[in-house]
Amino acid sequence: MKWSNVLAIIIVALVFLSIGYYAGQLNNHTIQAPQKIVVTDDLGRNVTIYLPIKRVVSMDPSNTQMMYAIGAGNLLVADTSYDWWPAQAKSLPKVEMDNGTASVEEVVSYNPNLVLATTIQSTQIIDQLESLGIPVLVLEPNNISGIYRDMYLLGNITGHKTGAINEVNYMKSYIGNITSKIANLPRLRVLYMLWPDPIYTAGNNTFINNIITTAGGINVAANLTGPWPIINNETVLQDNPQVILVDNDTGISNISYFKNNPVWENISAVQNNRVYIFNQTESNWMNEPGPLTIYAVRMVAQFLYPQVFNET
Amino acid sequence: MKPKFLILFSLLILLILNILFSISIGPVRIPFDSVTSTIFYYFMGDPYNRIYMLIIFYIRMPRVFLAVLIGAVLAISGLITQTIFRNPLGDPYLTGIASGAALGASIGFLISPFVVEPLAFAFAMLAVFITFIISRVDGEFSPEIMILAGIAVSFLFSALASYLIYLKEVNLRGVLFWLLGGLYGANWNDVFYLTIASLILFPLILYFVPEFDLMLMGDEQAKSMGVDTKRVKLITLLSSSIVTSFAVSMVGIIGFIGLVSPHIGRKIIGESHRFLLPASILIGANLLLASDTIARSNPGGEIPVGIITSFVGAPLLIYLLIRRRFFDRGN
Repeated sequence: MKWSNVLAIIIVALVFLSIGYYAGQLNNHTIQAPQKIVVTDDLGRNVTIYLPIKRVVSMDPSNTQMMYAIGAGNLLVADTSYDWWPAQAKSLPKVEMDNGTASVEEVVSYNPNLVLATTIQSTQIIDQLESLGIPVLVLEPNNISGIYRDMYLLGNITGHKTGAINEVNYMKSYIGNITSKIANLPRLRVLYMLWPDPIYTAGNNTFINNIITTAGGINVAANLTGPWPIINNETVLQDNPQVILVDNDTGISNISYFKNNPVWENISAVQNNRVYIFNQTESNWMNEPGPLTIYAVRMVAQFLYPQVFNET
Repeated sequence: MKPKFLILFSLLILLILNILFSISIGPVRIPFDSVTSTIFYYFMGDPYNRIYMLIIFYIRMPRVFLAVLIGAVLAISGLITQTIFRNPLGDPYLTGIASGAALGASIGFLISPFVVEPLAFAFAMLAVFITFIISRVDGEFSPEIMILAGIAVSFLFSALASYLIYLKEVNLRGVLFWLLGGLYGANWNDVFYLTIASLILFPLILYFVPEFDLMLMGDEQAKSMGVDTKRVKLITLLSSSIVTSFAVSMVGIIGFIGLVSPHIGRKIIGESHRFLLPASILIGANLLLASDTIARSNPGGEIPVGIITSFVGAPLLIYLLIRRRFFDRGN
């Protein structure tokens, strides 16, 4: 009887010990499991991300550029056929896009643990990817400080915090150098033309408006509603822009488009030959919020104040 | 008879007031007396406000007259389609014009923005011809077959246009903005060419007005009363299709005017085409002009006119449908 009591105690003790051991194992295991963090993207969505981030698919050139700029470009496993900067981005595998929208299967086949997208992607695709357990960050800054915020965010989650800080500081000093040169100069009225007929332009709460304002311009369309409003040509006549910026996609190749038109030929920018038609690269700078935005600011400032920038 | 002339006369007065009103309002506020004085001084050769002159003569006036003309064209085409097909859902795009124009425009944007208009016109006409050829049965045009042929051709051309857009070779922005439709870029050339086209083709349609009333009774009945139904169909549908294609190539696809104007006309003036045709024209012109004025005068930027035509036209038709019912019960 005594022996069996001892045996029973030993068995109970072993059972407890083993439970304790396994519990300890379980505990160790949870520590080793991927770390979960919740971040907020540019749509205000709370996105749960699993660290460390190893494989990233970028569905927009601006997002690709931000990744490379902060030094996290090596995490990208695929990007889009629209990517052009930096050179490495062109040689990455591509996710096929139908009308700018990626195919979910294609994205999943790269086995990413983070997808970067803009609002060009339909919400169905974002929902579908998230239901498959792939977090999607929508990064679409609508001003320059938004770019800084997104770079810090990417830096934090990819472990390239210093890279992000360095890049943001570089951009800030680059832009600060431009704005200090034009600080005391008169502001000029600017019309940005995304499409000529109807005249689609950039409204107040857009990235392009922010570039124009930073470079010393006053966007004549800033009081219209919506991000990409149509501006009526009689409003343009009244606002009488001093500089017109023309997107490459308009297909307008030279100023004669404006010179031979009874309405346009009366506008200050046309009379003074201050119509600037972007080439493809310049249009990209203007339309892709990211590290290259500083070149867009410099370009617009040069168009607006050639006297300042030709001296130096 | 007299009240019907009175209705037509009122519609005409309404159109004239509508034109004056539309010329004097827009996103840039010009006081009414400045509008009249600018016009007066311009013609007298006295000094005038140059910006006001440009806005009134080069932006508003061509746009106002183009809206009047296109409203009239769409209304007349809508009426002819409804009469000849004896189908209340008839609209000017039934023979495939819209999809044809969309395909032409897509191909145009593939080549150069300057060939968009001619190609839109050419492909709209191509769609019409294919629809006509398919629906020729035993030397006669069958309305039932023509409706189905029009739908088939529309789908085929839309699919081709969508495929081109899908291939991304086309300037996507251009096609999408074109498809939305609108009178944004109206100039005096557009007004001039559309006036010429209307002056040539409208008389061909007006010539057959007496036959239209008989056609409403059906082909057999009309034939027995001496109507050459084949000739009436061919000439009127073809003329209205040409002028509609021309209008569509200028301003894109503007919906609802062609469908709703003849119906409103019927409710207020009756079925007789002698009155219905001019009434529909005046209603279409008034509707599109009012819609476009609202669309362009929005202070927050222009609204695509198609949205406004539906907002203006649909409640008007609903009101007339309801009022008619109460009126009938009263009888």
